[in-house]
Amino acid sequence: MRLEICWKTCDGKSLAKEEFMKVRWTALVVMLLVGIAAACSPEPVNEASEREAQGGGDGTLRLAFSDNPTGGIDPAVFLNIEGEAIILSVYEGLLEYAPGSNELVGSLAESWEVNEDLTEYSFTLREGVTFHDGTELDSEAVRSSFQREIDIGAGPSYMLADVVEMETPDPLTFVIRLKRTNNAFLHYMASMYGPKVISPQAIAENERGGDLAKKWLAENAVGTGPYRLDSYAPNDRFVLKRYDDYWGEPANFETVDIAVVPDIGAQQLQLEAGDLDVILHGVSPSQVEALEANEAIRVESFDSVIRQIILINPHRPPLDDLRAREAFAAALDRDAAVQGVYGEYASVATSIYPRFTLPADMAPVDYSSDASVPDGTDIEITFPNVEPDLRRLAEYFQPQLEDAGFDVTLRADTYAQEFGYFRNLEEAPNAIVSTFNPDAAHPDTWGRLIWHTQGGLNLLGYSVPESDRLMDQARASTDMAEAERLYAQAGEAMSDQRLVIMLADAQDLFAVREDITGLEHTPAYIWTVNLATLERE
Amino acid sequence: VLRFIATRLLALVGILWVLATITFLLQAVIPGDPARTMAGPGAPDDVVDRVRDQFGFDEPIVEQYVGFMSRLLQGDLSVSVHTQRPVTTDLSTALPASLELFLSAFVLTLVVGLIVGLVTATPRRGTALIRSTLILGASIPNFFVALIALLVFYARLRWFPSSQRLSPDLAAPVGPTGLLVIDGLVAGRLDVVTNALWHLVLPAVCLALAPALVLARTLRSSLRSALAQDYVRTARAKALSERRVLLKHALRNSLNAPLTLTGLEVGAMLAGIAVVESVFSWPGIGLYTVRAIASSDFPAIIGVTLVIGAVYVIANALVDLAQVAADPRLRGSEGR
Repeated sequence: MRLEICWKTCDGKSLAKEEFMKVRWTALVVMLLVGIAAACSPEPVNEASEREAQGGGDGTLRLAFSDNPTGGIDPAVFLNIEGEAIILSVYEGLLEYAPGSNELVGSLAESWEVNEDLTEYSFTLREGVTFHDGTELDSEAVRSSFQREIDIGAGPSYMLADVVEMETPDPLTFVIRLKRTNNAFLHYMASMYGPKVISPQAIAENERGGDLAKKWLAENAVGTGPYRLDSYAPNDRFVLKRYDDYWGEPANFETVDIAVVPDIGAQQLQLEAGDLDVILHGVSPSQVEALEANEAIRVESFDSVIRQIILINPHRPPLDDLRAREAFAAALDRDAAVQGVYGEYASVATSIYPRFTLPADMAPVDYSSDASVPDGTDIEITFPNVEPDLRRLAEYFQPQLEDAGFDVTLRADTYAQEFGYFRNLEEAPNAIVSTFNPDAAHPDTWGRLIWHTQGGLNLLGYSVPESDRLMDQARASTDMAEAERLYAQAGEAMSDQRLVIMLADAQDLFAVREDITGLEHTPAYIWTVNLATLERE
Repeated sequence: VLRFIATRLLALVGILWVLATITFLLQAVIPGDPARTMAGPGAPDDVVDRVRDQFGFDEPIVEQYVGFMSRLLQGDLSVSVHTQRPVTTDLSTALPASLELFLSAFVLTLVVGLIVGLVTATPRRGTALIRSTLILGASIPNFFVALIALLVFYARLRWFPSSQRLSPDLAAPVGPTGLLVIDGLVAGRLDVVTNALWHLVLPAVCLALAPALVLARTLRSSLRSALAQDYVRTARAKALSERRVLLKHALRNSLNAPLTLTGLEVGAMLAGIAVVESVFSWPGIGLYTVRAIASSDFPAIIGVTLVIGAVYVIANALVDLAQVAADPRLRGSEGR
C-alpha cells in the first residue's frame, strides 16, 4: 500500500504531495532570502570587529548624537548642546577652562592682560598655529571671526555685545575694548558658546551674497582644533579626522565617527555590542547598574554645572501669591526626591547658583516657611517629555505637594512648548520642572539667563527689579569678591520671591567601553569630554 | 485612463491644499515658539525678536497664511526651524532613504502576504495555529517588533547592523536616485549593494511584518470564499491541476479585497516608518518628522505632511489601477 501525504482544499479535494512540496519550497526560498542578505554582507558579524583589528591608539572612536546639531555647526550661530563635541574639537577660542575646574587657561591665547576697569583685554596669541586649510592663525583672523559673529548677530553674539573696538597691533597681539565693565567677559571667551576662531580664507572662499559663509559653515568647518571635519551628513553621520599639524598634543584617535542614533536604548545596545565606544549623554542614573552589569562597560561621572530647577509661574493663580509659592517650596522634600531619582549621581542644591559659578557657601538655599494653602488648591506642573528623570522628580513631588493641600496635575510638554509659554503666561502651567546650565562658569551666565528681566531663558516673564539691579551692579564690579557678594544678594532677592526653586546639581554621566581611557571633562562643557585625550588601551 | 489620472490629480491638489492649511493652522494654535527654537535656548530677547521678524512669525495669521500659500505654490517650503536648511533640501536628502526602505518593505509585504495567503488558503493540519500566528503577528506594534529584532538579530546573534544605511567605512555612490541599492548597481559597486541590503533587512522586515500578515489574512479569507464558488468546481471538473485552479481561477477573483487593503496598508506603513526609522536611526523622513514634531518645526512638518499625503494618494491611485487590471468588471468605473 502506498502512503500518500495529502493536503486538502476547503471542499475536501486533495492535493498531491508534489504540489504541496512546491508551495513549501517557494516559502522556504523566501525565508532564505533573509539569510542570503546576511550572508552576502561584507562583514556578517558586526562592525566592531573591524575596529578591534585596527587596535592601538590610532583607529576610530565611535560616538553617537541623539539629534542633529540644531542649525548646524557654525560657532557664530550654535547655541545648543548636541553638536558641541564637534565644535570644541574642531574650533578653538582664545581661552578655555582647565579640566575639572573653572580655572581659565589659554587656548589660542598664550597669555592675556586686562586693564583695571576690565574694559580692555590684550591677548598674546600662540605662534605656529595653523588652520585646517593650512593658513596661519594671526590676530587679524581672530578679529575677523569676532566681527563676523557680531555681524551675524545670532544667539552667541551676546557675549560680544559690549565690544566697541578691536585692534591688531601685530600678528600675535589682539586687543579688544568694551563699552563698559563686564567681569564675565573672560569667561565668555572660555564658554562652550564663546567666540571661536575660523579661517578667514575659508570664509572668503565660501561667502555667497554677503552671507559671511553662514550657509557653508553650517555644515563645514575650518578651525584650529585637534580634529578637522572630514564629512558632515545631516541626520546621519559626522566624521572627524585627526589634524596632524595641530599645535598642541595630537589627538589619540585618527578618526571620530559620530552617528545620529536618537534612541538611547539603541545606543546602549550598540555600546554593548562594541559598535559604540562612549555614550555622551542620555544615560539615566537608574540605568547605571544595568549597564555596569556588562563587564565591558563602565559609567564615569563628573561634576558639572547642570542644574535641575522648578520655575514657578507668577502670572497664574494660585501661585501668583507669594504665600502660596512659599507653601509650594516648603512642601518639597528635595532630599528624598533627588536621592530617589539620582542616587549618588546628584546632590541637593545648596546654593542658588550651580557649582563652579559661585563659591558653594554663598547664596544658600532656604525654602522653610509656615505658609499654607487651602486643601484642593489646583496646580498644573509640566516637565519636558524627553527627560524621564524630570518626570520622576515631578512624580516624587506630586504626593508631597498634595499632602500640603495642593491638587497636582502633571503633564509632559516639549521643550519647544516650554519656550512658547511666555506667549500666554496666564494659561502657562503653574510650575515647570526643568534642567538648565549656565553658558559659562560665571554667576552672570546663570542668573541673567534664568531670571533677569532681559534673560534669554526667562520663560515665565520674571521681573524682580532688586535682583536685576544687584546683578547689573555685580557685573560692573571690578572687584571679584565684591561682585560675588552682589551676585549672591541678587540670587537671594530672587529666592525670596520663590520663583525659581533649586533642586539638584547633577553629574554628567558617560557610559564607556572598558578599553577606552583618558576621559577629560570640563564642568562647564556638558555632555562631552575632550575627544582628543580619549584613547583605546 | 486620462479621465482617471485627471480625477486623481485634482484630488491630489485638493488633498494637499487641505493638509497644508490644517498643518498651518495647527502651527498657530499649538503653544511653542519657533523663533526661540531657531535662536537657541539661551539667546537674548533681541536675537529671538530678530529671528521672529526675519521669518514672519510676528505677522497676523492671515498674512502669514497668504505668504505661506504663495511660497508653497512656488515650491518654497521655507526653512526648517530645527536644521535651518530649506525644507526642500532636507526632504531631498531624507526622501531617498525612506523611499528605499518603503519600497523594500512594500515588496516584502506583497511577496510574503501573497505566499502566506496562498499557502494557508486551503485547510490542513495546523490551520488554527497558522491563523493564530497571523492574528498575533498582525497585531504586534512595529516598535515592539523593531526592538525585539534589534535585541535578537543585532545584540544577540550579530547578524545585522542596528542603524544607518551603510557601514561607516563605505562611501555612498553619488546619485542618480539616492537609493543606495540602485545607485550601487548603477556604479557597479557590489560592495555598496550588498552592504545596503544588509542594512535594509531589519528595518524593512519590521515595517513589512504586520501589513504582510494582514494582507495574508485577507487574501486567505478571499481565496477560501472563491474556492467554494461554482466556477472553481467547474474548473476542477475539467481536471485542471489544483495549482492552476488556485493561481489562474481563484486568485484573480480574490484580489479585489487584498488590493483595497494594500492601499490602506500603505498609510499604515507610512505611519510606521517614523517608528522604525527612529529605532534603526534610519536617516529618512520618518526620523526627520519625529525631530520636527519634537521641536515644533512646522515648516518641516508641513513639508513632510505634503510629501506623505502625495505618496499616499499616488499609491492608492496605483492600487486602483491594479484593481482594474485584476478585475475587468471594474473598467469604466475607474474615473468615478
